[in-house]
Amino acid sequence: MISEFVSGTGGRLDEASRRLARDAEGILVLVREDIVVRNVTESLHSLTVPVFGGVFPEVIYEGDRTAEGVVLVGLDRRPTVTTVTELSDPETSVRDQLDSTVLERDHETAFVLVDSHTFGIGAFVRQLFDTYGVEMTFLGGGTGRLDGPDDVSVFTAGDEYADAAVVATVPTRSAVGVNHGWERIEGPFRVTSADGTTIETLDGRPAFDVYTEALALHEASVDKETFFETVKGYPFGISRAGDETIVRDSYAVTDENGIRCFGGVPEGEFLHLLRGESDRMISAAAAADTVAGDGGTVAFFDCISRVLYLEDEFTRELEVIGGETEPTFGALTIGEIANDGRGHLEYYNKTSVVARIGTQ
Amino acid sequence: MTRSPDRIQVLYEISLSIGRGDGLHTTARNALSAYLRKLDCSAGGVFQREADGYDRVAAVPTRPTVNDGYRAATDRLTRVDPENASFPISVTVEGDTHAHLLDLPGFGVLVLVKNGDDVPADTLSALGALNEKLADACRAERTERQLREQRNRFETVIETIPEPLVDVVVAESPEIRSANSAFRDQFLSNGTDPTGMPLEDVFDESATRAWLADDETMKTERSYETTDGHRTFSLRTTSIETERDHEERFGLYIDVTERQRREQTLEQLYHAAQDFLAASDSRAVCRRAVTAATEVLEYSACGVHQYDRTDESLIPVVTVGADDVLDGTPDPYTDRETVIWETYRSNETTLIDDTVTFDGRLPDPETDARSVLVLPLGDHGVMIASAESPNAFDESDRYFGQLLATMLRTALDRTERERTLEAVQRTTRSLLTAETVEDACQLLVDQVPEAFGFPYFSVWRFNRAESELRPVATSDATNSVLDEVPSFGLGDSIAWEVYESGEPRIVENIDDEPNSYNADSVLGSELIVPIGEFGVIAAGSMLNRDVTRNEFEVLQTLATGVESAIQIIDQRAELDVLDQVPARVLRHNIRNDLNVIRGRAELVTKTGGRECIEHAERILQMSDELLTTATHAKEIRDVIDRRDDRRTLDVSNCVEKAVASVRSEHQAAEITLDATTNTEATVHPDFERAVRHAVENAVEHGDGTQRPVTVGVSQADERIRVTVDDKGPGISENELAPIRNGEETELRHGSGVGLWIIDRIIEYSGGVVNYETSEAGTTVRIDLDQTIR
Repeated sequence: MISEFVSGTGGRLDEASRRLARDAEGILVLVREDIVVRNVTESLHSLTVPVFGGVFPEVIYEGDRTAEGVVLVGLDRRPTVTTVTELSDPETSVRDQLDSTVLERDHETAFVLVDSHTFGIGAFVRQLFDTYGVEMTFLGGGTGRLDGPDDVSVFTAGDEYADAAVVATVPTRSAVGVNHGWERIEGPFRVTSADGTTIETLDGRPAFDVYTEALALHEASVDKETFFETVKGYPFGISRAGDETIVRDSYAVTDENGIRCFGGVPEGEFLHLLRGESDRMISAAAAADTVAGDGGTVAFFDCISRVLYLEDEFTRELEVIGGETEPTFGALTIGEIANDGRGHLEYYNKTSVVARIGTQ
Repeated sequence: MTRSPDRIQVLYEISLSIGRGDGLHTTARNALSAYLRKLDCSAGGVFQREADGYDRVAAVPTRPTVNDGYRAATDRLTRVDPENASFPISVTVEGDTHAHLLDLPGFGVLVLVKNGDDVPADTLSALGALNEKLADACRAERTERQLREQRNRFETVIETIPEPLVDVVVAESPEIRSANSAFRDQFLSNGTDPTGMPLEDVFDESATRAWLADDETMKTERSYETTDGHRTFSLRTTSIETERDHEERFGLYIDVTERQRREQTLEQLYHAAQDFLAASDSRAVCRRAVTAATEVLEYSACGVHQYDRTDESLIPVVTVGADDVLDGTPDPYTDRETVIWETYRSNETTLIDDTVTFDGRLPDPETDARSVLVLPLGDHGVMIASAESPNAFDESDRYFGQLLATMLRTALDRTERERTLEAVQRTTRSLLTAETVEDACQLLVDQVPEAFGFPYFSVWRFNRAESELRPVATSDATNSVLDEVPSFGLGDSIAWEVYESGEPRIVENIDDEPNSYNADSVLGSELIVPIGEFGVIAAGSMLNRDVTRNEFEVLQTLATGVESAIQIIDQRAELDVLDQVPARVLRHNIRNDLNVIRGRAELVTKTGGRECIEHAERILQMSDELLTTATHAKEIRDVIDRRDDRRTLDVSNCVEKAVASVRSEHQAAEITLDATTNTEATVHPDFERAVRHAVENAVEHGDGTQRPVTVGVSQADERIRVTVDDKGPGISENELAPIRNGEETELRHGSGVGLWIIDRIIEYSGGVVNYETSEAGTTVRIDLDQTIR
């Protein structure tokens, strides 16, 4: 699996992509958010191999966060690329747009890039799992810019999409490790009212009020203006039987003191207040790396909010990934999508996903 | 192991996902998805129990059989007997994949597959309540699905109903809940969705008001404006029970516009039929029927063509509009190969949509008519409607045309029956005027051709001596086509068969008859009817199959009348002979001989001895009685012979003459006459004789003393009364009884004969005679109608 970083677009991107296309069966494109997507797709639309990609807050190439630019990943096997659109529309049937026959063609790995700002992520992920189950190893995450929810964030060779997802399956075996290291400190709180990705009330009271009270118990405070800065250390956790809590990041407060999250929070769920601690989180990332095993090409999808929380210590997290083999490519995402080949597929937040692609 | 609070949370969260969804599949899939997500399972399925196994309702992933655990679980499930199943069942595959088959009570089975660590036993155990909830939800969905299917079927049926149907929420302002496409097409502009639309927006307020009736079912009929113009509908509404808090009604609009038009047309036809059914003759019937065809059915041109055997053609009797469509009244149709004649023969209606493309034979290939409707009228002919444009007649025109033709045929049947029956009576009566049977037969052949439409008509009489049927009379037409009318001998002809068997025959094609007398007969068809023992009559046509059953029946009726007439003529001739014998005997032989006897007896009384004189006087007495009897017999005969004769006479004058006559014979009698009234009455010519007998009886039945007889004539209220009053012992009841009882009078007694003559003459004069007897005498009253000039 060959990969290449191109700083900027234009001729260099044209040249690099054509060069890669000569040896690869398909190309995964990871675009840093400061790149104009149209400039990227214009360089890719004439390629003869399938191309798919997404825009992320940051991208990773050869073990490091990159500067402004594009990471091109040449795939050894020809991918089947499916674009699922209009995710926010409740009437959209994801199943009908997915190609379930790829399982019969031994496709075992799916790259999943989904617009993180869409309301339909939860339904999309559920239907993705309903279609492929555990027979497919999923790897990917939420696309988009931290400050630009309405912009296009996924694309193929000739088209760009918002409110959409790109699913590319390849007949390649891979292994995934998923972990986050956040711990419960308060809860549970029952979600008594929710609307998509917004928690309106917890235990019958405005979510923000409950949240600030819980934080106060741990000598932390938050206000609406500085909410995003504060909450990066105190996300919510959704419990799941016999498995690690699923982290749900929040990023804004509504006028009615509801809390907006990355990812859906169904009404009736129980939430815990989580707290991060650097060593624990980095250890968790290392554990994910361990679960992913050895061999193959290392890909690392980590949540941008972990970067924001760990700040300089994020370098340590990058160092624990891949062991002696540095991650070839990756992205700092807005939410992560992965499963370990055993359990249910989830849309995570603040979680580290380590994949080894092309394992035996 | 999952901590207890976490387990409770997970179970609670799963329970939130269990509920009614959009159908059974969605409900099961949503719940299954929650099970899998919260229990971190890799695959699963919900199965519905059927009589012969389990059917999958939902599964995750979509192609679950790629999952080893799922495959193992479903393999195991196929071996479960639904009737004796026991759950849970657990299956382990390759050590770290665990499949659990859990009971969904009353519904089926839930399959959960977990890779790696198994679902904790206490969690599995705690799922029971959730599984029951899921089973409840699935059952509810299944029931709803069945109801939905029923509803869909119902709605499909409603949609396929061709009449407009609407479901209305009945409130102060009725509102449409749903409507089928027929309703939308009929009452709404293109594409308008009537759901939620106030009914007033479709119909006016008065039409909406019908929906507010209290009756559960309601039926009204009224006109509505539709996308197809103004039409009339019968609206039937029926309340339907719903669980909603408002009343709903279904309304079915049945378009009765055409039915109403048909009813109006039928009513008009009915009235028209009353008119022509009452017409006195067939021409009037046809004229009125054609008028109805043009005015009620709006045929632009129409005519009736009746069959005429003499001309062997269908001749136009009445035509209307022919000048416009046919360029004048058509000629008689003689060409028997044309569609007109085919219709007449087959008695089947013919509709020609376009004469230009018509592949049959038209009477006039150059006709201006493009559409033609030919309606058979049975034996009478055809009715023909035509129009200048093609396709002018539709099925409705055909239907009403046939109806009109049927009524016309009925009317023609009636007028024809009446006409022929009158002809039969008239002919039969006329035969009675003949003095001989031969004359009667000639009268018959003279009248039948015109009266019954049989130009070829003959009568044969059976000759006993020669045992053959000999022609008695033959019509002119027959004589013109036959050189000689044959006689028929034993078994050599159909006529002989008919005579011998007494059974009449219709011979539709003489050429085909093996027993026909002449296989090369110029006649084509024939009716042969026996006249009792007299002979046969035969009516023929030059054409084959040109005689009808109605004519056959008429001819039989005529034959019966002819037989009776012949019998009467025969009997009358015999009676004449018989009548001559006593008249001659009484008038001449007896009277003359008695005069001789009487003269000789008187001579003996003058010249004979005493003993001889006594015998001679006895002879004279008996001779006088015989003469009186002869005189009475002659009198009776004269009265009866003139029974139909009437004269207007002065009653008083008649009475005076009668009294004078009696006085001349009974000079000693005292007769008082009071007859000063000058009045006239129309009476039998022998009225005076009746009065004379009454006066004579009064005089002769006196007791020998000279008691007066009073005769009077009076008049009052246009009645004339003649009274004869005597003071005698009265007329004995023995003599009056036969008169009163209408019996034959004893002619031997003079008074009896007199009473009989009085009774007959007054009866023939239209008067009444009464006899009143008492100890004081007898009063005879004769009452007559006065004749006023």
